[in-house]
Amino acid sequence: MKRFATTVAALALAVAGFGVGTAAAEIFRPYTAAGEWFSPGEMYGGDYDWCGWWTENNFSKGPSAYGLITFIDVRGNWHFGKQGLGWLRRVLTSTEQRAFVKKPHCRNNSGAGYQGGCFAFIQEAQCV
Amino acid sequence: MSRAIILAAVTVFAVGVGAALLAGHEGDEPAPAAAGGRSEAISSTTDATPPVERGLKVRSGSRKEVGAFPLRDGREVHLRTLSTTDGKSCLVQEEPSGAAGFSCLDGGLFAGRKVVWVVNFDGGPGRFSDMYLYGVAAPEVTRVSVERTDGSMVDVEPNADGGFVVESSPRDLELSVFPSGIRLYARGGASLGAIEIPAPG
Repeated sequence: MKRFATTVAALALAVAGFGVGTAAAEIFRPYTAAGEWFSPGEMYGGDYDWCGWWTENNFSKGPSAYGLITFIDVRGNWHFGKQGLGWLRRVLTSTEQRAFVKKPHCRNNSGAGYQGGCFAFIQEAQCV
Repeated sequence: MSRAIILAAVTVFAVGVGAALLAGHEGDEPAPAAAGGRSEAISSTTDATPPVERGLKVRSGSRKEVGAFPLRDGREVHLRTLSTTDGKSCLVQEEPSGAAGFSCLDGGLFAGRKVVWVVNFDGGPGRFSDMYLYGVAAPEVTRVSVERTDGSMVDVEPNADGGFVVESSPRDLELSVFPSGIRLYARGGASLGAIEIPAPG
């Protein structure tokens, strides 16, 4: 069963890797390893977007794995969150949604461990 | 064995990412029928592709509108389902403001379950400014009861396509009352199962 879960999660992440052909201006940024083990309550985060805007947050995991994604601002407040099963995605399509300093965050908020991977896209800007 | 699978996945993942990035929009392009030898059409994903679907190889003709659900503040939540050529089934949520996301599952939306749901929220941790649970239920589900952390229940009938939305009121959010479970019922009131929802945060 564990091997099956491992395979499913790993394959989901591998497939996700092939699905990153997003707009050229947005750069793929994983913030966990592929097939990372998420113990109950375990969480990971990306860097703050001081030089650009995070535009999307993803948590790729198996169809029975429950987890949460959100963006965290510099004061620790959450924005644009989702929790659910499988591969979760949240996109920020408007400037209003994107234009604040934040970092992507993912978390296993279930009671069971599983494998998965978190990645995001950033629209980079020139830092002055 | 697990390590070998993970190593293989990391390799495939890295190759996939590299290939997609080198190719720019390659991952969004329709697959040439001759190249893959498949007659199966993949929907064109040019400018018309909703941003939320980027990178998904949407199976042509699989998009199905589930409904538009009004929220208290005038927003509308649009739900649709779709399937991909690589075996995923997705529940996609969009608001006219551009807020959007999805949950994609391998093997079908109702493989081993009778409901797919997502809790969408803003704010947190602990105190939230906006929260709604949306989902799509299997055809045999005629009533969805959402349990909440204060012990109350909110009943909703899925629409003709199985869609439903349960919004938390400002008072709920003020008191930190969140969805904590889902119970499903068939016509006549027979129970179809119960699901626990972890607290957000």
